[in-house]
Amino acid sequence: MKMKKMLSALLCGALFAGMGVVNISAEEAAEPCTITFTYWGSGAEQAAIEASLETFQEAYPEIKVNAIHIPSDDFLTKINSMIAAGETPDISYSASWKCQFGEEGLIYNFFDLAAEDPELAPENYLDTCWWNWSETESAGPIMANVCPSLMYNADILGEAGIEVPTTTEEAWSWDEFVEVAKQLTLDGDGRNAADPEFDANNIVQYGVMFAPSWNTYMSFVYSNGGSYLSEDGTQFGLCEEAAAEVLQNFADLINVHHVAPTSIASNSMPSAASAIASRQAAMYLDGSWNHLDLAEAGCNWGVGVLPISENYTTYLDGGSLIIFKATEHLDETIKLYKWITNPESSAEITEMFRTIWLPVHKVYYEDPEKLEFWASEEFRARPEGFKEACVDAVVNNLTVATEINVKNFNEIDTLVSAALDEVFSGSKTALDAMSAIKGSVDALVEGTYNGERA
Amino acid sequence: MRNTQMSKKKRRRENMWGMLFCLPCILGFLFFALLPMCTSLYYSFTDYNVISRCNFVGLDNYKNLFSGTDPYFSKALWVTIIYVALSVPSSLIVAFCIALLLNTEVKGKGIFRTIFYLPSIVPVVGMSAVWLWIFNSDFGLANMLLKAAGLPKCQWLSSESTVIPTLVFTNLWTVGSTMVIFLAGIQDVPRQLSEAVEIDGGGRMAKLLHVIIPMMTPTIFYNLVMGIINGFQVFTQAYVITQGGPNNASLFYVYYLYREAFQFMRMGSASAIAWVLFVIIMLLTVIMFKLQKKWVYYGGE
Repeated sequence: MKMKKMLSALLCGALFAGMGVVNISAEEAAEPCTITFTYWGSGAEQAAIEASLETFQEAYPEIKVNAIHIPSDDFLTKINSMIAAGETPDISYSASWKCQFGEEGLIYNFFDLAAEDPELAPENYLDTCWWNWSETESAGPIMANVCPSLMYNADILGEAGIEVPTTTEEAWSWDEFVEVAKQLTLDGDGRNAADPEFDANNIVQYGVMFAPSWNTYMSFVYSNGGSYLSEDGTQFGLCEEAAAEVLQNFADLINVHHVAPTSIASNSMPSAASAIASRQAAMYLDGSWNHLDLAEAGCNWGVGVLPISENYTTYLDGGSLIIFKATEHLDETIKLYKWITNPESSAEITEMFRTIWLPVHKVYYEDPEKLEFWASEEFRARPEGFKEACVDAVVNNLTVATEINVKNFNEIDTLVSAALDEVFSGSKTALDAMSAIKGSVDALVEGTYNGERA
Repeated sequence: MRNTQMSKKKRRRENMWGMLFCLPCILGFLFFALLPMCTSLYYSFTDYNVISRCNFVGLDNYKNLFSGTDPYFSKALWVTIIYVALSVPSSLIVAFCIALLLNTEVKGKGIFRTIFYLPSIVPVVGMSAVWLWIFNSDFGLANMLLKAAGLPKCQWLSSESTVIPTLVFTNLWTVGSTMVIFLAGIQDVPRQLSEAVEIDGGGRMAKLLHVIIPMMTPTIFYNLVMGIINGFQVFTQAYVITQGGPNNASLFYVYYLYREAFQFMRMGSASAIAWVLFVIIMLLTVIMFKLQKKWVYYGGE
């Protein structure tokens, strides 16, 4: 009996030893290879990625990463020309065009890769974060999440004695939000927008600024029962009552309540960080990617939940990493994929997840320790209330981001954005402007990628 | 006999050298202009999008443009024509006036000429960022000045009706090179003609209208043609300052072309758009060359 046990132990030992040998020889045998990685991002992001790739190459000396930083405006052009020239990268950042790449068979179906590698199992990731090009084919989960965010100058709101709610239960209704914005909008003589003698032509501090993009208004549209496409997904949806009402609300901030700036249509608006730091705006509705800049602007700032009091709905959005089928080093490329998407892979990547990005792995939201690891309110870009306003309120009320789900979104959004200029300038009502482009949009509508309403 | 043979040989050799020296230019034209043009003409009849197989679609791309299926084509064309109609005359007049001023005998003439040419060296993108700030309707310098003077605010770049005039105005900033050409032209006007006017008792105005402008018509014509060609290809301002907005009111033709090609990945359709522009510019240039006989004065005739 004893003998048998010993024998089996010995055998097991030999087996493990053998495996170890095999492993070692496999690593020794790994031939040096170079993989090309294309990405975009701000100066801070570029520095973080470059430094992190250094650590990656130290951890995997046999892999050399040829990282190419491309400005995001020229990104697709450059990728296209690389493909045309037969120099397809192995792995790349990607925007909504990735779905077309998927349909053309240029990139790996993430579900196929996940079937081979349990670490990439889809159930590890948040359910709403998938860039799919069909119900069974995916370009992968978002690599680094961002969410719509209400940011504010804490000094201004403190002076006015206003507290911004950070939980969905306490969230302002739209009307309450407008009232607050009025109190915070000041003219040259210090009167606020609620004052009957307020001079709307001489505003020195706006109550709220908002980025005129889908990312800002779609949370409100969904919460109001509206949607981007019609019920059956065959027609334009923003021209329906519930959605148009929301768009009109935003326009009214400018033209009726005079609490938001008029130059919103062009890209001349100051960014959230500079507007809040310079007290041009008391509050700012845009995305969480501004948090790092706000932290670096050195002002006293905070975050709150969106002013949605009922049926709070929001989304996480962001680019994803795609792996090209042209790669000759799939295993190594996947190693790099895991490295960049793992918040704990290196100090530089960790820093990104503590300032700009939100994780996409479920465990970073479910495990309190892991949550603390990236969302601790000790960190400079994670102000007080961050966990409630930008984590709890978001992950508990998720839907799939419009950009991810709606087919031909890029082209439809171009039409919508132009028509919204008319709404924000006050020359048309939201209902009229959206109805006017319905014909052109309907020609582009092909439904959604997940088959559900968006 | 021997002599002629020698000279023939010499001439041939000279020709060869001549060709050789021209070769960089000829090759450049062939490979970087003619070949891409032919390729794009071919692609304009396809649905080429770089990544997938390219299919021949006949005249579909052109039909989409002219039948109104494409929601942007007519607007882009119209906006660009208005821009050209405003910016070409205004920049010619301003450049001509500055050239006249710089031609006067004043102290520090060289410095003034340098200063007025300087803006042309500033990169358009950097300049655009400054204009963006100046013409911001809420926080910009322009409205600040208007307010200080007690005048009502203007929406500048944020309103459909004022965006093109504002861009035309910013374009005046870059008239430097046109101005230099005018200046050179003015300096070439024969002095004896001006003196003849003086002897006849004519003033400055008479000199300008009866001598300088008629003598300058070839230069004006050249700048007009170049102005129209460049005006139709205006891009950077739309790209950097307005991104075509508000409501496509500054969707310049080439920006629209760029968007079609590089944001929507429709190279075939973008090629068709480019060829339509080529034909338009070509026609306009031909018409102008025909019309020049009526008003351009060449000294020799």
